[in-house]
Amino acid sequence: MKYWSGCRVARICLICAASVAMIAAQGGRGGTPAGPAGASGGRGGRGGNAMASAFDPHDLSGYWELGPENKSIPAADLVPGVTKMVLDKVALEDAVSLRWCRPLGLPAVMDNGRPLDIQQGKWEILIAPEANASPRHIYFDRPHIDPNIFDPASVGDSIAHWEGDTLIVDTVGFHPKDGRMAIPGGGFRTEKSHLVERCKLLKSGAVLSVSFTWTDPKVFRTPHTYEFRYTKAGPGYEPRNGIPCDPFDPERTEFITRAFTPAQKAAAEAASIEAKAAAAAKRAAAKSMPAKQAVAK
Amino acid sequence: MTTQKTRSLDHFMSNAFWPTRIILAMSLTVALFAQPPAGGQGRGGGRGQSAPVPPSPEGDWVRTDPIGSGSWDALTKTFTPASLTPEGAALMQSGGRGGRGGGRGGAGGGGQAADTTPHPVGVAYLVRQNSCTFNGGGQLGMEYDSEGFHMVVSKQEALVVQERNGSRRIYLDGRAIPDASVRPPSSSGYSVGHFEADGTLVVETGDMTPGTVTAGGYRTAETRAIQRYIPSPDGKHLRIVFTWVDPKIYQKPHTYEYTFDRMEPGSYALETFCDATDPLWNQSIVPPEQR
Repeated sequence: MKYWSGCRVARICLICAASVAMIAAQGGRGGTPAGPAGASGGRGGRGGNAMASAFDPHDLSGYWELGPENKSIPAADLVPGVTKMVLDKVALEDAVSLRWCRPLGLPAVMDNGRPLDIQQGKWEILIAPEANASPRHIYFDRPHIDPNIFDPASVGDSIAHWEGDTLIVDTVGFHPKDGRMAIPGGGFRTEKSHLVERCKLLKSGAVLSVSFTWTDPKVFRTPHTYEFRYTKAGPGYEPRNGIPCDPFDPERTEFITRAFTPAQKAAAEAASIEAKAAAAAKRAAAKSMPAKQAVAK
Repeated sequence: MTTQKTRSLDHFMSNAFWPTRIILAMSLTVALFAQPPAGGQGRGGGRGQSAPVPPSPEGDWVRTDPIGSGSWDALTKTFTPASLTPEGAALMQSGGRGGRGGGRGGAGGGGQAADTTPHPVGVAYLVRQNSCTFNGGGQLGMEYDSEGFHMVVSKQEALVVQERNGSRRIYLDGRAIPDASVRPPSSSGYSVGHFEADGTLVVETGDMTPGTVTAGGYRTAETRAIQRYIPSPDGKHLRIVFTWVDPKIYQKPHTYEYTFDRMEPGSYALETFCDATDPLWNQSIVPPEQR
């Protein structure tokens, strides 16, 4: 009897071990390392706040706010070729983007004045901003898309993996023009830029540290690193709609361009499709004009 | 799922020869503790991996076209039309014809009325249909157009995006749909959901902006929409069954469904970058010179 009881106990233990392993394996799939059960995978979780508040260093899900006092941004070490003229040109392009309510893109989306909704699933982390910006997809399960077929994007192509409790996010494939180009601390993004973000939860999950490192031999002499520390919004927080931006609102246009330099104002005006159409019509008219007349003009 | 698996295992083991049981149990334990190969688990049958995908609505989906028309209107004409109450019919008449106002979202939409005034021949003019105005909505609609959709399921919510600005979230933490007076209604409303054992995600939505619904329906902030995201057992296909419930509007629940395929391995979410200074975005037309 005792022998069979022992076997029964052993059997139960084995079954329990197998069950625990099963749960761990299900939860741990995706981007998380061996780590805690359900680190990235978990759906379900109907336990409400108690479940949500349990600290899992491998789950970045939450609504994250960036306070103005929670940024550490040193000055970038720029290559000599990045002259004031080059920086002014970038500032001019960004002013045109601002004037016309173009989506933010990276890096601006990570400091857009509103909380970021970051949700971590089995295969990717999705960042949905409450702002005029494309969502960010950060994939766990693949290498970068072949640049020959990838459509460059204002938020690039992001992949990630865990190194201990730090999520390493690697982004390339930036669009050459779409989105705001300026990088905090100086410099700007180009289509050749490479961004590495190191994300780690601090203070038992109440703070998310994201250390951004930009490399781009045409812009930075040494890799440029700065850090933001996001604070987790309270359990009652619900994402809200973004703040509207109407590029055809004359009052807003006057307000926004008031601070522009004359060159920025001119560039912003020249970017309108009306100005582009007028310029095209002018060119067409010039082409059809008799040569003598065109010369005379 | 875990309980069922455990029961099956117990049943099997109770009938197996004891040493075999130990070996099997240890092998199983080791196998289950083993991590997925480097690069992680694949999607859609594996991004370069052959790992199967679980039956779940999580992932990247593209809407299928079962009738092969290429037209949303043609597809939805195959749906059973809504049976409206007199009040519902009156709302439909006052709230707009046909349309899909209750359906697809318009994040970043905005837009100005098309220029329908006459223009002299040979004079360039612009027809602006989409101004790239960011209206602040940031919300997707209830249905997904040909862009498909991308869903991430975390512990607290299912977050859905398409390939443009805007998102929709479905809270999974057990909360109820709160009183509609707390917040203004929105295009995708306020959604709560839960998973069933087979991986089906059941979503209940209220607090939606008034508007038309696919196949002759209508909705108000009081209307409830039940969406069942039903994955196929192999995880490669998905049905979304809509049921609109509102006794004021419908004589019986208004139901229809769409089907989706999981995107191919290696696919990724494209970006729709709306630019008000891009003539293509604004659908501008400069007619050729008339002679």
